[in-house]
Amino acid sequence: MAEGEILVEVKNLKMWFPITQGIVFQRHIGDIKAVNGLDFFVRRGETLGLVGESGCGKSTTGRAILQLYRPTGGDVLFEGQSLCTMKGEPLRHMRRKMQMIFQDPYASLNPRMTVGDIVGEPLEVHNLMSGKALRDRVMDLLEVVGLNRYFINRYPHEFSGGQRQRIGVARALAVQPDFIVCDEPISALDVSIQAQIINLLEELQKQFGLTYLFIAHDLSVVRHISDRIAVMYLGKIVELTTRNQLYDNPLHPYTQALLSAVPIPDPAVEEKRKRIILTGDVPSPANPPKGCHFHTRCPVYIAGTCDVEEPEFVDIGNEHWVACHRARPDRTQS
Amino acid sequence: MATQELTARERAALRLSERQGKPANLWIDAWQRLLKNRAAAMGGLIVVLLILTAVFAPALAPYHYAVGDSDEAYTVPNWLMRFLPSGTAGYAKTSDKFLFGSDYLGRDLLSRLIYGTRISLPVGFIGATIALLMGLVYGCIAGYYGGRVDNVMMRIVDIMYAFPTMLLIILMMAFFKSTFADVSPGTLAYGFNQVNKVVDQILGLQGGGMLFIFMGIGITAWMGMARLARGQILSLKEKEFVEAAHMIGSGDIRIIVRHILPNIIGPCIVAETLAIPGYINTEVFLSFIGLGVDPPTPSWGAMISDGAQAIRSYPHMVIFPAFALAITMFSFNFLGDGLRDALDPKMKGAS
Repeated sequence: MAEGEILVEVKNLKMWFPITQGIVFQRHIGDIKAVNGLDFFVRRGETLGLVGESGCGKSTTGRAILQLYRPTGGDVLFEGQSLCTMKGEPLRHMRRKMQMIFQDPYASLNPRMTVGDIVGEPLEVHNLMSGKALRDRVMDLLEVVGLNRYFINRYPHEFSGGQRQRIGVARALAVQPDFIVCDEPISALDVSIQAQIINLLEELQKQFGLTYLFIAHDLSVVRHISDRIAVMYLGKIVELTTRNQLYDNPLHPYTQALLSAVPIPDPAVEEKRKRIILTGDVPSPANPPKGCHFHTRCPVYIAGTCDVEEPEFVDIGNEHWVACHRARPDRTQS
Repeated sequence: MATQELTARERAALRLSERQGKPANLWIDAWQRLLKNRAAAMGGLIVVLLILTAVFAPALAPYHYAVGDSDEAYTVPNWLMRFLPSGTAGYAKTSDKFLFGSDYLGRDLLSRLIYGTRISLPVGFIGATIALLMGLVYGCIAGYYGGRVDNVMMRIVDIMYAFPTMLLIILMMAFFKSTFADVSPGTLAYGFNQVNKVVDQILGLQGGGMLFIFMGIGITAWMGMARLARGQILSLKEKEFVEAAHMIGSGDIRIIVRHILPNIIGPCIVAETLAIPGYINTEVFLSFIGLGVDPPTPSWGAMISDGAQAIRSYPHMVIFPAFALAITMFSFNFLGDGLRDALDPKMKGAS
């Protein structure tokens, strides 16, 4: 999976949310820098995992790529076309090519609509089908995601969490997209159901040649499904590489700390596992620290370098991008 | 594969539930819960009866509501004498001609009460409809677009709220009555007058001025609704299913109509049902102080006002319209309470 056509390219993506004060006359007093300059790409047919702790900007990244939030800066290229400058009808048209699977299957389905209306809505909105053809297509979609085709007239509240998530997947598949952002699609589900949804997503990827951006905070799930993995911290990607590279040779101290927190299902090995425990809290994204964003909690930071100079996000060879002064061979001696 | 196995099991479960005939629709569920609530069902029944009374008023009323014989003024029905102070017998005329007695012009109180539903119910329903339409549209725009639009629109509502409602209506009614009375053709006021005549004709009344009551109530009633709708939309538009609709490529109007409105219409209808007694009350009050409908239109408020002048000697003239008013208001309140409980999915399963 090393080579392949680039489907989505993200260039210096920034998503800042303004902080305002005042009731009638609102003054702009700062920004929450939820996503602060991301550079990465997703190849056609691969799964890019995006991990990081709560509030680091994972979901915002997914939404900004799909233009659910209009990014503050930077650009997103989809098949070479810039999405950020697109508006109105052309953007609406692009929505047929990219879809999203949401985190909470209880909130992502309109309780007043039948399953048929929910899954069929994308087709209706894009005037792709109507009447009998639409119904047949919806029934086929339900079967594709492992639901009974006669669930079509039911309401979301009659389903379990796993079934609801399948309905959400069917809705995303309706317009035959190329690219799907999975925004923590399994974190709201029972552990027993999680594997089923993961398997479903994998099967669908094989069947339809889908490309996923898989957002999660569960490292073992991400390891299972991803081809490449990006690790985010405080609005920035700190490390991005292939799955095996990341798990075998993590270079960024934050990645190392994250991985050391994953329990190993072998008591003998688990006994010897050394945990790197980070101290302190995540700094506020409204006022990120100078230099490397991670230096306030970094166990190995270099005084005078890490707290002054922001590390560049560079490929140090072998498709291994990392943003750390320590990881760069030309810097380690200093 | 695990997926396939589950599907097979799901199919079996499906066949089973299909046979049990589970009700699928939220509205059917709500309807059944409403019927189980006795007070609400009773309220609903009385409201339906009142509507039927208003529709069939000409057939139900034994006499004409505006024609009376002054020889028969102030008659008290025989059956009521037992409940009145014993002194009443000394001066009151009694008669069995009128079931509820007659007023100071000898008009049948029952007929006037029956025709009175043609004032109170339209005031209630049209007031609620205007409030619902205006409030929902206004609130939807403010809540959905948010930001500066919301800020400006809601400040306007705040300013409107700051006026004492009753005073505003009284001023408006006084204005309407003086401006729109007796004008020459071709002016705006004349146009209003013609519309007013049509409204009165539809209701089958001779000269009521109902249009002005509707306007007065409509102008003041939508603000609460706008606030409610805006609040509901603010919480709803952040829900993931609205985001999903954006993602799909739905337009704003489609999102509002298909996704947001169906989810907020329940609480809004409940709020309006509970507000109907207020509108009826406003009309009654206006008629009581002489700013409501024009005589001889039999508004309950005007009847109470007339009766109040003779309340010591002939209390029946107040008792019956006041009783009718109380029953109507109770019914709408119980119905509204019942609707609220029935439409609240959290009440599911609770009796």
